[in-house]
Amino acid sequence: MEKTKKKENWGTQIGVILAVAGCAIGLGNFLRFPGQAALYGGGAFLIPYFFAFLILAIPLSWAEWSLGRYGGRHGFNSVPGIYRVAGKRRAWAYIGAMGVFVPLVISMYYVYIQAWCLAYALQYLTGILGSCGLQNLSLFGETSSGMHLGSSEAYAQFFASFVGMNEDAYIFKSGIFTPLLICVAGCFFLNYYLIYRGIAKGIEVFCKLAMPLLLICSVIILIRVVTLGNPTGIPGQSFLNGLAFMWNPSRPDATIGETLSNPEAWLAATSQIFFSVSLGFGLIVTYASYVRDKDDIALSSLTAVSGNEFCEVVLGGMMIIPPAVMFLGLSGLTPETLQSSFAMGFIALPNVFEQMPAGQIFGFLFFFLLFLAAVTSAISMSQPAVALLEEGLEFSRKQSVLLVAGICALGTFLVCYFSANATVLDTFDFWIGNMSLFVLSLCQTILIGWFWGEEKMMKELDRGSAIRVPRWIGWFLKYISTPYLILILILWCWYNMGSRVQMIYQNGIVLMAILFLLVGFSFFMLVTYLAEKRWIRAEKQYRRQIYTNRQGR
Amino acid sequence: MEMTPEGWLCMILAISTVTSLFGWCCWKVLSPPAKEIHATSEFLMEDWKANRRKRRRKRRKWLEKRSS
Repeated sequence: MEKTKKKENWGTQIGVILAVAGCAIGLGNFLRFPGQAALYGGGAFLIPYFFAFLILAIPLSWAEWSLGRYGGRHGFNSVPGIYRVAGKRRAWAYIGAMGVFVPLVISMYYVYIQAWCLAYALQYLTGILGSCGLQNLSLFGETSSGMHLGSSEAYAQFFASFVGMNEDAYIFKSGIFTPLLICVAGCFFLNYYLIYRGIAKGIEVFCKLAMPLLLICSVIILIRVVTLGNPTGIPGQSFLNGLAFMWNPSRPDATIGETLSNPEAWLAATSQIFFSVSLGFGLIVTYASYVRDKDDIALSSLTAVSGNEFCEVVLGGMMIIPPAVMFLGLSGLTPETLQSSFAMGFIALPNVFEQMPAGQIFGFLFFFLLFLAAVTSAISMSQPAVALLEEGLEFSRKQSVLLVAGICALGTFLVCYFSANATVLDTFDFWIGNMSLFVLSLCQTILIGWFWGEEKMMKELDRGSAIRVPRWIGWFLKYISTPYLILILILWCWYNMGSRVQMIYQNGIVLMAILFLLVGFSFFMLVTYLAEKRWIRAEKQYRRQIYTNRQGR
Repeated sequence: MEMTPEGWLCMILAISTVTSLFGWCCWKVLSPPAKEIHATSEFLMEDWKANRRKRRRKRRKWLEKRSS
């Protein structure tokens, strides 16, 4: 089916690379990776990590880009449309509906986390948040500028109180003009304004500004960290001791062999790569569909993936754990802190910045770079839903953005309202941000390997390519990546599912969140059904036109 | 905890691998495109074949107009 309306495209190759890198680079690069690496064997963790990078990240990234651009060349920018044209079966459109729903649900709680980053950045910059809106002002000691809470426990208390983890609807209790609610609203409007502006004028322009700025902030912090030496003077808390904790492959509690024979380490490494590169979200497929026919995608994909790894391994690996060891000591980095991105980012690190010379500046830079990383990721997550409404139901951009923003606002409200122990956020994250992603990615790999075909994938990758892609990548994706992905999914379910299913029956809020997800998914299935009827009607009209033209001759 | 030689090796290998890959990709993206990009000529031929029918149709219409 040929589309007659003017197609949106990325402005430049660098623009699409920065946009895809932006959607991949997020809080996980700076908060999750260092904690996971330090927890699961340090340097030894990098063996399963790079194994997963080669087996999954590179082939799947190439596959997603090629699938997306193929769909784009056939006039589709939405995941259901792309899956349908590639799989040549109607059922694929409905599987593709997951590629719309999953990122949208993730954006519902991601905007909340984005607001936390903005709020903390503002707190470091101005101290404004410290002087208004919070009931427990005694947490702030005597100064109201910057964060000076004195201990990890105080920061933990502040964080829990600030984001409403101690009771439901806490952030609404002081009225609607509370600092965090204002930040949530601000982030929401920023995200949807950029999406409304479109691919080239909104998302690309913002990413061209945000990504270099993010890199500059990271490098400044990295230089600061590397030049700190041993600021506290306590033996065993120097920069090199911090590096040792992060990178030594052998430890007193686990040798390299023990780490490599631990299935949890392999699962953690593979999950980290998987979520870090944004595989199977439906985002890369959507973004790639806007790439021009003869533009390069092989090199662009590799650049985006390697850029993500640079931020994760080099920047994240060097600038988080070492300063935490320097100022908190090894005892300050408990397994709970290392396991949780929130504990690392919003409790341990503010404590580090408080003790660091000129810590207020570096604290601002750090949370500002997290905010930029969160924005570039969040704006990519709503684009698949907007694309589906535009091309499937022929809504205008304004209508699509408003509808998607409305749905997302509902989900974000639930996340903000049921904030005690982050129940809704945790439920969404588990069932959609983890489980569904594995399933969607597996479906996508099967689509590419067995329905669309490795030959078409290679042909699409070669089109306009500036590098030579190995010929065996298609075979590799089909017979190595797919079974490895199935193995990881089984392992992940084995380790995580049991208690989660029980929670649905035991906790009414979890059940409500699941019902919300089911209703939301049904809505997008309905939208896909209506879209598919339109596409079938349009294809029939097009065939009739060709037949008529031939008869006319 | 002190840095061991294995720790230095892990760190240097990981950082240099990732940085080299990213650096190489950036250099390829920013350098001017090669004259003959991989497989472009194949696609040009395929596109030419695919457009052949369209060209024939156009030529036929032009001839009809001319003769009328």
